[in-house]
Amino acid sequence: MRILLIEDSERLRKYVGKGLRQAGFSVDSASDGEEGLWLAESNLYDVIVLDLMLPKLDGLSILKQLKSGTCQSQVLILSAKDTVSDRVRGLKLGADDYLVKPFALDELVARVFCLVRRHYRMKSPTITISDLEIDMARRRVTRNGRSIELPPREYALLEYLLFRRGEVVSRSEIEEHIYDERAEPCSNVVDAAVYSLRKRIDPPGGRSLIQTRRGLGYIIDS
Amino acid sequence: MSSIRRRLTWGLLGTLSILILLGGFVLFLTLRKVLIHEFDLTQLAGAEALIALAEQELDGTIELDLPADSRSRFADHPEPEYFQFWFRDGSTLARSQSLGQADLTRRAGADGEPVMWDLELPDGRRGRALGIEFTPTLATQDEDDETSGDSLALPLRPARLTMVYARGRETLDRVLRTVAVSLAGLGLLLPVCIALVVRALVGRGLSPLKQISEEIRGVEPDSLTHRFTGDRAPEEMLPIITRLNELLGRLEEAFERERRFSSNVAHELRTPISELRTLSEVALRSPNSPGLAAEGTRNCFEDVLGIALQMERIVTTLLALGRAQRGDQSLHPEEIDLVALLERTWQPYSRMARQRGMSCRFELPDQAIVSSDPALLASVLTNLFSNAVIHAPPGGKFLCLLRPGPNHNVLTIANTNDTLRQDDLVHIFEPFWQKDPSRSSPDHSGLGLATSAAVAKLLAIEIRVTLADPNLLEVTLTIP
Repeated sequence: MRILLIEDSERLRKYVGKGLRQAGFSVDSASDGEEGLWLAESNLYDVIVLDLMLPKLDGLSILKQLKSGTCQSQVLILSAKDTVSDRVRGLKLGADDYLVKPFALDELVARVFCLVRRHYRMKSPTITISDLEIDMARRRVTRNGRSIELPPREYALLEYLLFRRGEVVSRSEIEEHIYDERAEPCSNVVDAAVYSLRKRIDPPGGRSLIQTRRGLGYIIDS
Repeated sequence: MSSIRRRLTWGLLGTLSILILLGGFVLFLTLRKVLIHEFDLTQLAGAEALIALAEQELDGTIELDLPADSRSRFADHPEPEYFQFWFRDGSTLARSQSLGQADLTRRAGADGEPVMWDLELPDGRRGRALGIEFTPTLATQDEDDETSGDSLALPLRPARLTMVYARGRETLDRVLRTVAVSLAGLGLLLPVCIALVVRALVGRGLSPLKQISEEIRGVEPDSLTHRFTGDRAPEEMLPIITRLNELLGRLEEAFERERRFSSNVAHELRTPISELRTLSEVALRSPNSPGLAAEGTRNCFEDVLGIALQMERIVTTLLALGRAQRGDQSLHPEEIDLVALLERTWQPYSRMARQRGMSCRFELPDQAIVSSDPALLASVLTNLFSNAVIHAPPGGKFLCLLRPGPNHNVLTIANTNDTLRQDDLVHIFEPFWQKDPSRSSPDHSGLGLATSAAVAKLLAIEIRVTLADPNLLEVTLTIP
């Protein structure tokens, strides 16, 4: 899942980004409001983590512009402003969640997960398809009762395909949601990742859960 | 506790009661005088009727012919009247039958003027007497005698008589008693009524105070924008309402400043705490993760140190600000050369100013001796120089002018400004105030100028900040 972190504190940007990446998210970050708005409008993010007191353009102005446009991203405000009126103002302007600094990283990750689920209209943190089960809260994948270890990128790919189950997901969409600004995806990186994922989750010689639609992309369906 | 209502009630009640008592007394005396006068007029009319009865005959004798219907009044009436006539020599001419053998006191005014006095009547009742000296009417000659012309009457010497007419004054006393009782009753009843009316009126008069009190009770920290209109308040309360509104304005401003302070403190402290917490959680979550290993433990600790230093700077400056504001800072004043201190303090910033391409101009006298605490004064100057160099745009101007005077030296430190507006100047000495609302810079917390202002106040230095023109920020220190 792809997250945009708009935060002016360099250290916070660095370590929150790191914490979110550790949780399996792809993270882009911006240090001021103008850059953040530009990134938010130029890319498809599942969740935007937004500070309020930002140089150049404040967080509430960004929120207003995003919500008045076509942006579908969920927005979580992460701010030192802790009064009820601050929180109410943020939520009334369209934020989906509000977290006050200082915060526990686990809580931030849990809330971001929650927003991702809401973004894809998933009610449960567990998705089962055929005999494959993925527990998003614990980031555990099992098939036929057997636990499968997945590297972060492949886990994110599987999770994204499951969120879009029944839909053909194009390579560019996968790239946009799985890879962040730090990654340098080459032309066949998605195909390579799908190949690797199939090897890990499919039984040898069996039918793959992930189907290829030539020229279109991939689909996962029961 | 004193109460306006109680004081007004008792004050008005006391004053009005005294006025009513005095008024009642004066009224009683006036009525008494009028009634006695009326009584005396009646007495005089009675006396004149008796005088009219006295007639001097041609032979010089005096006849007093009392009509039959009047006789009983002066005889056997239950409350009889009395009269007595005297000749000039004091011998009694006639007396009423009611007197028996008793005498009335003979008294009369001069020149036929009647005199009146109170007396005890022979039957023991209280009475009032009228004494008058008069000349009785002369009896006239018959017509036949006049026309016969046989003889001429000898000229008659008119007699001079004194008469005292007395009667009981029960009616007068009864009326006077009724008036006195009525007035006394009113005197007792009116204060009670006045007390009730005054209490009600004072209560009504003070009701605007009660309304204002209720309105004030409703003012909470989150409703300080409220202002009292005083639409229905009496004129006397308008100054109080105006002062209350001014007080609310000042409170609102103070609360707003407090809110800004809290919000800024929150940001200044929460952000480094968040950084520290997130850094620690990330490090603890995967201490051996390739990311952290590649980044290096050293980088991580450098960040921790940076955060600690940032927080230490904030806390140290806050403590210094608190000490200066409370006046806890001990002062060690001595004679110092302000020019030398300025040059020494500027030293570290001259290089930075050159690097930023700033043009610097100094107008300093050879020497300016002041008595001040050198360390504290240096801290103020350091802060002002630092702000001027850091906040001026690259290539901007820096000016330092010192004008010595007999009583004080005026130091002006100015720099080119391209961010501050006139509205910002009222906030510039507020703790944590920064022009940039994002407060992004970890090196500046907005405490410098607030601390400088507090220290300057401690040193009895007047500090002012002005925008000489929109592009030039001037800080002026008047140093005694």
